[in-house]
Amino acid sequence: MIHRFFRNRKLRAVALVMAFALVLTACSSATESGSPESPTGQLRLLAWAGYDDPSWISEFEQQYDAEVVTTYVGSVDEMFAKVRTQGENFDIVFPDSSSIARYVETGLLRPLDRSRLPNLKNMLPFWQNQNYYEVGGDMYAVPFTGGATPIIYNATLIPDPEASWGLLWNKEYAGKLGMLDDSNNSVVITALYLGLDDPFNLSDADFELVKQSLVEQSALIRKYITGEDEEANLLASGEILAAPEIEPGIADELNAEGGEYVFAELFPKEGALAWVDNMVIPDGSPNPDLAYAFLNFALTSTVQAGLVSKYSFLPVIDVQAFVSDETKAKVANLAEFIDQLQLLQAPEDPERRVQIWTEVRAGS
Amino acid sequence: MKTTETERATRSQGSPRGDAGVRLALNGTLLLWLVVFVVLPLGSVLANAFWTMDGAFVVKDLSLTSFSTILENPVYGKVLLRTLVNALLVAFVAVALAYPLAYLVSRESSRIRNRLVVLVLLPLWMGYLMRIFAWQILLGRQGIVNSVLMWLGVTNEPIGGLLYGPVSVWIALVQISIPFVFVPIYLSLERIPDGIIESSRDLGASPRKSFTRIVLPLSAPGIAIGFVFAFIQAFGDYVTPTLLGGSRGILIGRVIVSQFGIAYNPPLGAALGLIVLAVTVVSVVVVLRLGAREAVLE
Repeated sequence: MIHRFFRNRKLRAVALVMAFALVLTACSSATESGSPESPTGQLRLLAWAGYDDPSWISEFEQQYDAEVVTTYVGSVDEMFAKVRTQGENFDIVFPDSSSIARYVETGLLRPLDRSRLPNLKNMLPFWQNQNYYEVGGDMYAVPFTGGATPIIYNATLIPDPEASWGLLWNKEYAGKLGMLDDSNNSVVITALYLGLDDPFNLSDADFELVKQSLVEQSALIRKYITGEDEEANLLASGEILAAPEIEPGIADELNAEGGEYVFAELFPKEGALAWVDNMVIPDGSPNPDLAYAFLNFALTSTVQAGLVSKYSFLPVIDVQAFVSDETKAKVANLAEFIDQLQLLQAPEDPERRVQIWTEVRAGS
Repeated sequence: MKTTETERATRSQGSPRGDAGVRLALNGTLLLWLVVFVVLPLGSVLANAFWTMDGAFVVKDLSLTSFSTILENPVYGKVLLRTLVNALLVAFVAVALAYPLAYLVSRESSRIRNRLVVLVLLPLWMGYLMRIFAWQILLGRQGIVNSVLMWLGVTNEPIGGLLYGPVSVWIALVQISIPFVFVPIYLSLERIPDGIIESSRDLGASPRKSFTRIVLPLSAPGIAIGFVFAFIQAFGDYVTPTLLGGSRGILIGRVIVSQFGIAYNPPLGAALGLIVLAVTVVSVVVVLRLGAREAVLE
């Protein structure tokens, strides 16, 4: 899950300092939670940097006369470990879609009461129709935001490519292609390319096909990509012509810099990968009433339009009326391809995927 | 003179308890240092290597699962062997390049010598990652090396193989090791008195013979230590191969790192780390012994 390590690095540095300061204040403040009808008091988030952007958090704080305290995490594992050992310290946590099952199975979450979430109706049909947030008939999570992994390509040198992952297997561009240096994403992309039934539950035969295909591809790959800056440099210098876009917005950034080439995004017809972060309420949440208030608040344009404008993330509600003209085009583009998004789910056997990846990368 | 000696004698005799206290404090500090920086980290690797995984959780029961995984799957052996060959190659080249340099510098007058040493160590002042990025800029398709080659007419198309392949990894690892190889070789050469070399020449040895029979054996410990520095560096590094390596042929460092991401298998990572450590220790002992044996004058 490579995007975790590269998201908002600058923010995270600031976040670390802030987190430390906030931990100090958190220790001193008393808990007060009002009533279910008019919740107030303190709301404790366990989140990725940027999810508590002041532009919407201050509005929430004013509206509920509340205080929002955020603890930041740097990895999926760290988030899970924190909820497992000190879940009673948080009211809302933001796990990704592939982790929900793990949280529920470990008994860390409380089921959500749909009747207390009137804003669920704001969600786009694509999000209403998902079922990953339901386990055993109960709803445990509300989608917060996400990001797609389309193909980013050099539109100057590849004028009109077919909308397919096949671009990354095209021998015409041998030695000028990039791929993600990450076992799970690479295996899922290959499974999508091969048209396998379920990219997250591969059979033995599927695994064999995926491996062969990845080995074939490795002969065409210039560089396996480990980070956002690396990908931007490889594309800008012409070392690679196409690769999965590791973070939303690289194409925009490169085009804004105005280098030698123009870059574009392409949503493969076989399905583009997408990660989704959700809001869940830990079982021991001290202030669930205020947490419900935040869940509804997060499904409004205040938060969702901010996420798109600031980070190019996927909105889960319709925000067209609330964003700048420039962002409108981006949102329209995302909306057009939303049905092609393949949300990341928990893989059947992560170890096996790493094993295959090691074998592919070891070469012959 | 006499007073100072007596003073010293009385002081050391006079307060045995104070001395013991100081010694205890020093030994305690040393012990603490060893525990924090050596025993705890190594102990954690050792313990993890013999634990196992149950789903997403580490089970702290003694188990050989990780080692049997490594033995059963040929890919680990293959990667380990490749890393070993790679590290030996880097160490040989680094020694081959650093030795003549150290020899020439050590034969200069002391004023020039010290300035030259500073020059050789200059790359150490620049960050490690900076040097790797510099190689990316130099060796890329639109890099300086390719531009010069094309300008000279050596090639019409930029040579892609310079970057993102074994060549760029070797170049960077050798460049990074050279100061570390240079210093021990230089120190061993500098200690050889000119008189010994002159005597051998006076006794009729050819320049070649005096080098192979006198200089080379006397500098062997330096060569051995330098070789070991370069070898350890190249064997354990995973950043350089990750940033400069090609699509095929990963090294063991990368395999270890990948056990701690989404796979989350610290025991397997620790077991691989332990094997790397064992290979390194054995290689170091062998090389240092060879160096020590050579150093004895025939």
